[in-house]
Amino acid sequence: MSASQVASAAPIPGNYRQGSRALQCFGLATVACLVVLRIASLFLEAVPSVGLNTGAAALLPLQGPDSSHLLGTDQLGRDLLLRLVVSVEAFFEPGLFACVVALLLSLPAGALMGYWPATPVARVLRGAATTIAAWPRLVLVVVGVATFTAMVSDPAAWEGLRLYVLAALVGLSFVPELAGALSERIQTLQREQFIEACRAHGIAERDILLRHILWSNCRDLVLRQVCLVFGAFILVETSLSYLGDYGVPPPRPSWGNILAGLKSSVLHSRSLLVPESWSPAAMGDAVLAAIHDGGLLGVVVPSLAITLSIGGIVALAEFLARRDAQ
Amino acid sequence: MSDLLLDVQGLCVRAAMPGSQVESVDIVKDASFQLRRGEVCGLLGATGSGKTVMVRTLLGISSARPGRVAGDAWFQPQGSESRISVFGAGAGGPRAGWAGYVFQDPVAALDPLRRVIEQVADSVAVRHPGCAVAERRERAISWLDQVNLPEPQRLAQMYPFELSGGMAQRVCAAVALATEPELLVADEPTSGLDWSLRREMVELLGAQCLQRGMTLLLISHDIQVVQHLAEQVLVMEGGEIIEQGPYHLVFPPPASHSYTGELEVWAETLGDDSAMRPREVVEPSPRGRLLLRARGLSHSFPGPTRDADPVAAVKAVDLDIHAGEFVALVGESGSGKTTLGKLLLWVLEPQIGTVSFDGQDLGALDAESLRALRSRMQFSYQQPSGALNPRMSVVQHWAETIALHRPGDLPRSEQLIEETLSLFKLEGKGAARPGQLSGGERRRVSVARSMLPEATLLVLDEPTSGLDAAVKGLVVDILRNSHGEDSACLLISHELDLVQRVTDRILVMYGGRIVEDMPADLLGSEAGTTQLHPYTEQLLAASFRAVRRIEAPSRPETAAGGCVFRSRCHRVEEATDQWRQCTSSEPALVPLGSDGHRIACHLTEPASVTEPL
Repeated sequence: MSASQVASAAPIPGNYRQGSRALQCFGLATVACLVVLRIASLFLEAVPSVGLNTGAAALLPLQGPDSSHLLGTDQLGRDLLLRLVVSVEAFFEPGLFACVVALLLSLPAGALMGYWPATPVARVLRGAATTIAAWPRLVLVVVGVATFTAMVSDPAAWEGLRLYVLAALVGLSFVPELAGALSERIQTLQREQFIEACRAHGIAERDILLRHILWSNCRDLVLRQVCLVFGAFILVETSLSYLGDYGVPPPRPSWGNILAGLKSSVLHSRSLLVPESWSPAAMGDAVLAAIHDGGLLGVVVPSLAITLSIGGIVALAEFLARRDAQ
Repeated sequence: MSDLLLDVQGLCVRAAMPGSQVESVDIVKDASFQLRRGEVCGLLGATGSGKTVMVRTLLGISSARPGRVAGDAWFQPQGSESRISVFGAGAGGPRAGWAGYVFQDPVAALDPLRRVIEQVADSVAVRHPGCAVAERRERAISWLDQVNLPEPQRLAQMYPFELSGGMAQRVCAAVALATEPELLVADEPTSGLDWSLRREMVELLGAQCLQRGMTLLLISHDIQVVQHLAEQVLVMEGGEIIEQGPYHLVFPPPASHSYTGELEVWAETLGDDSAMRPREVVEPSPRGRLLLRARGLSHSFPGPTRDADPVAAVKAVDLDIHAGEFVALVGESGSGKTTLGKLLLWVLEPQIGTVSFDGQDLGALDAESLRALRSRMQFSYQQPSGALNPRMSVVQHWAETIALHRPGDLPRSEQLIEETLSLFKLEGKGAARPGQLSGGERRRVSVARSMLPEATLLVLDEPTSGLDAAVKGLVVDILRNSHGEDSACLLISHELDLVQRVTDRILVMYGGRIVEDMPADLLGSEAGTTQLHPYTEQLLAASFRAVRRIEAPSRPETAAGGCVFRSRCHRVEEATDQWRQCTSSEPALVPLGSDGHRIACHLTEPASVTEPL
C-alpha cells in the first residue's frame, strides 16, 4: 500500500524532469527570440541599407564586419544582419497561419472521426485524410503553389499572398497526421471509465467532448503537433526560398535566399579557404579572410538560425509530448 | 532469548523525491520491534503509513525505489546461536530461505505465463536445491493440497489467469510456504478477496503457521483480520510504530494515540460486542412516496469468446425504493450488484425491463431530459481512479458539478468546495489531480462528487472498500448524516457487518437475482428465530464474528432453470423431493411475515405453502 503511494507521488523515473526542464527552456527561449526579432523587423522596413526599396543607395558589396554593419554586407551591398532580422517576417505570420489552418481543419475532423467514428462523415474524412497523407509534403506544397501561380492572371500582383498559399498547403499537409492522432486519442479516452462516469453524472455530451476530452486530455497533444507545423513551415519556406521560384520574392529577404545569394560568392572565393600551410595560424588567417572578403558569415549565420529555430521548436514539441505522457 | 526470530532496532527508510518540493521523505522513522518464533503478529496502520515499505526493506524486496536505510535488524536462524544482520554482507542468501511473502495482489504476483505447478516447484527448489524434478512436482502438488485447493492435480496445470481471486491467493500462499520459511509475511492477504473468502484465507494462514511453528506477520488495515488471529500487534502511523504489544493490551484500554483510538472505536463497533446497531437510533424506514420502481430488469454481457453464451448479470429483478429509505445491496463479486445499480439509474440501458423514477419512465425519455434528471439521481463508481478525469484537479471536478447541478450555489462555489474538503478531511488536497492522491483520498473525492448534487436517489457502488477503518467511519457518517426523509440511498457493498449497522433495509443478491429483501433489524435479532435465505446464512457465517460455521457444498452447475443458489445450498440434500423442486422451478420473492421481509426460497415455510409442487 504505502509503496504504491510513494511511487505514485513521484512517477517520473530518473532525471526525466531535468531533461524536460532543459527542453522547455530551450523551446521557450527560441519562441521568445523569434517574437523579439519579428517586432524588431517592423522597425527595419524603412532602413535603406536593408535594401527593400530598389532606389536606395547601396553599400559596397561583400564587406567584412565592421562597427556599423556587424555582419558586413551581401553581394548586392545590403546590410546582412538587418536582412537576417527582417527575414523573420517571411515565416512568422505565414507560419502562424499554417498552424491556424492545421488547427481549424483537424480539430473538427479529428473530433468527428474520434467521437463518432461510425458515421458516414467520419468515413469520408478518413478517406480524405488518407489521400492527403499519400502525398509527400514538399511535393504537395510545390504542386500546390505552382498550380496557384499558373491559375492567377497576374502572378506579380499575387506575390505577397504566395507565402500564405504556401502556409495553407503546409497546414493542410499536417491535417491527416494531427486529425489522426486526435481521433485515436479520443477513441482511447472514450473507452475510459471516467467518460462513462461523466455521462452518469449528467454532464452534457458537448461538455464531455470539449472539457473532459479535448481541453483537459488532448491539449498538449494538439499543441505539440502545432509546434511541429510551425517548424515544418520554417523548413519549407527556407528551402523554397533557397531554391528560388516559389519562395520569398527577391527584394525581400529570407534565410533561404540569403544563403543562396552568398553561396556562390563563398564558393567563388574558395581559394581563400585553402590555407597556404596547415599551421593553426595560417588556417585562422584563411577563415578571417573568408569572413572579410567572401561573405562566409552570410552562409554560416542563416544556416545556424534555421537550425536553432527549428531545433528550439522541436524541443518545445518534445517537451509537450513528455508532459502529455505523464 | 532463544525464541527471538527477528530483532529490528531503529530502522529508518528515507526515499529521495527528485523533482518534488521536499528532497526526501522518511517513509519509516526509527522503527524498533521484535518478533518471536511461532507468534502471530499483526501490523496495523492506515494506507500510506509505511507498513509495506518497512517489511519489504527488511526482506530485501524493496527494489521499487532505492531508499537510504539506517538502523539495523538481526535474524536468528533456527538452531543457531549466532545472529545474522539482515543488511550485512551475504544476507541475500539466508534471507531467501527464512522469509516468505504473500503479496497483496495475488494475480499480479504470479508469473502469468507459467503454470501454477512450475511456480510452486521453484519455491520447493529454493529449500531443496538438489531435488529431482519429479520430486519437486510431487512436493508442489502436496503444497497445493495443504492450502486447501480443490483438485490440486488439475489445478496445478492451470495458468494464473484461469484462477479466481481466492484460488490465486491460496496459490500465492503455497508459493510462499513451499520455501518452508521461518517467517511468513502476508501483506493485506484479504483485501482482494470477497467477503465470504476472507475468513477462510486468514484461518488457513493461521493454521499453517501453528502447524509448522512459523512466525506470521500479518499486514493489514482491517482490524477484524488482525483481531481474529494476532497475539501481538504493531500499529503504525506516519512511518512510526506508535503502539506495540499484546493485542488485548493495545486495544481494550483507551489508547493514548488518536489513530489507535479511532481504530479501537471501530473494533468495538464492528467487533464481537453487542453494538450491532448504529450509534443513533434509526427510526424504522418511513416508507415515503415511491421513488423508484423497477420491473423485470434483465441484462447480460457477451461471453468471453464469440461463440460463448452471453453471461446474464441481472435476471428479471423487480425493485421498489421509497423516499427516506437507506437500502443496502449485498452479495459476492459477480452477483450482479454493480450492474443492477447501473440499470436502476439507467447508466446502463437494460436489455429488458422498465425503470420509472418519480413516475417518469426512464426508457421513454430522450437523452436530454434523462440528463436533466441526473441532478436528482447520482451514481458513484466503484473504481475511484477510473471515475475521475486524470487531468483535472479535485476542485475542478467539484466546481463542474456545482455549476452543472447547483447553479444557484455558483456564487458561493468556492466556499462550498472548502466545506466539502474539510467535511471529507481532504484539506489542502484541492489542487491535486487524482494521480497525486492515495486510493482512499480518490474514493472520497469520487463519493463527494456524486453527493454534491444533493440527489434524491444516490447509488454508491462499494464506497468503503479498500478504506481503512477510520476513513470508512468518516464516509459512512457523512452518508448517514446527509440522508434525509425525502431522499433515498442505495449502498452496494459486500461488507455485511457495515451494512447492517447503517442501513434500514438489506437486499441480498445472488446470481443476478435478489434472493432476499429484509429489514436490517432482522440480522441483529437472535439467530434462529427468523428464517433467512441459505445464502444470507452463509454470508453471515463468513463474518469473523460468526460462531456458526457452515460447510457450503459445491455441486457442479447443472442445466438452467430452478433456484440459482441450489448448487451451493447447504439446506437441501440431493435426490430428495425438495431437491427436485429446487431444480425444476425458480422460487419467487414472496413475503415472509409482516415486516416487509421477502425471501426467494422453496425451503422456507410460507414459500413452500404458496408454491405448488
